[in-house]
Amino acid sequence: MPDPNETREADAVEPESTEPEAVEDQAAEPESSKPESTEPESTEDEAAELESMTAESADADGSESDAGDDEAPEAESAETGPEPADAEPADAEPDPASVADDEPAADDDTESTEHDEPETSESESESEPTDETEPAADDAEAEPEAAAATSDDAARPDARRKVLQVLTARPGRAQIPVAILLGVLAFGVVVQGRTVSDSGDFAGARRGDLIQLLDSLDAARDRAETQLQDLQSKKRELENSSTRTQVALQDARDEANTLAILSGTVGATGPGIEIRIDDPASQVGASTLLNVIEELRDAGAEAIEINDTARVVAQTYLADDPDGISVDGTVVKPPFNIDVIGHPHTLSEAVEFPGGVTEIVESLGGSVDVNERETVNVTSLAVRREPQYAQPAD
Amino acid sequence: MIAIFGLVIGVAAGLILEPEVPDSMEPYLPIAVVAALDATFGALRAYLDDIFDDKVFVVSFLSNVIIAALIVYLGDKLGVGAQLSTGVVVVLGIRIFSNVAAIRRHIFHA
Repeated sequence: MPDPNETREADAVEPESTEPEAVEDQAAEPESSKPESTEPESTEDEAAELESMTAESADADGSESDAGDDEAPEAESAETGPEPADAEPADAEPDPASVADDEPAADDDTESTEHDEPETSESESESEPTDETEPAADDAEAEPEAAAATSDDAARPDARRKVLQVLTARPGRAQIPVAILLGVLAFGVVVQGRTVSDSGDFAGARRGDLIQLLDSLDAARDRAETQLQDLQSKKRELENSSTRTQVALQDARDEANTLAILSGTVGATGPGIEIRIDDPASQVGASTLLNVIEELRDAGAEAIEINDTARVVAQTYLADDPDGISVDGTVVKPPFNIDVIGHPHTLSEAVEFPGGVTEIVESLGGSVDVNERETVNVTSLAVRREPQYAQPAD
Repeated sequence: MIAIFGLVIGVAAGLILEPEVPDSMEPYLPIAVVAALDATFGALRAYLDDIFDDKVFVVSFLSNVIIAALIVYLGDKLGVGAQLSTGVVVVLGIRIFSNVAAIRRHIFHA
């Protein structure tokens, strides 16, 4: 038997880890580096995992446990000691039973494990009652964590195999309701997750935060509405002022046009009359021409032009000149062609009425010819005069 | 195996069907899910402790879900729904943690 020899060597090296497989176990998994890992069940686990090694190792385990490793049974007895209220007694009690239960269920495993485990369970059952009396108090005083670790060690092989069994076991009818309920659970989790993710960021917010958020949103909305009203009223004002400005501008333009026509700074066109005054004797002077202009103004003449060169406006002066008549410095000579814009018939009546311009001119040896026109063009401009002294009064 | 299939089928059904949770059920679903999680982890621990019984699991699962929903419903009626659901979640969370700790000790020995 080579294995017991190795175990003795291991004992010589480390008194705690007596089993060679436990050493292997420590090498494989650092979690089991605690000294209590020398339990026969851990070796069972490895026996289950390493099926080739199982028979020999289990024999070795059985021999050793029978030989009386005190530590492992002590640890197991300590399980019941420190944590009796928790599930530990459940662990401690069903451990041998579970081994017995699992083995027929785990028929897929090799038979060697089946044969091995009852031996070890027997060894446990043998070792437990003997140890419960004496060393239980000692190990109960020892660290409870170590005891828990030993219990985990005891339970781990079962847990591993159970998980494996769950994954590999043939489906049975007993699993159907479990499967249904797990499906319901998964369904609920997914639905709830979707609901939460759909409902946005505020699903998990607390009530106070939500209220505060609502208040701030209300305040922001109020501010926005106030701002909106301000802007709308401002817009209306601007529209009104724009309209008024347009109207004022139009008025100003009309005024400017009117004044421009009256002051003779622009040309003018419209209905009116053309007056031709022939004066072969050169008897028609400035005063006569002024009479003509006054009569035309009286009849509502709006633009007057003499000989297409001299525009007659409000400030136009007439003066006798050796060569003719000076109109604002522009000398005009007979015959005088006077273009007048205004109501044609009224203008012609004003020229031709008895005792009027026509008779005066004819008495001076001249002749007056009046033609009413649909369109009379006044193209000449008056002399520009900027007021030097007069200022606009309020 | 069937249990894992059930899990997968449940996830797939939730993803594919995309059901809308009715508003009346909305506060209870998360609590029910947590309660079901508690029952499931308890069942896993019981399985590792070799005291698993599928009948017990079914009954505990359903009763956990129903009682959790009832507590929240009662809390809503009493005006302390948020606090009560928080309490339920805390209690169930503690239970889940202890169960997972036991499972972890079983499997990882730590």
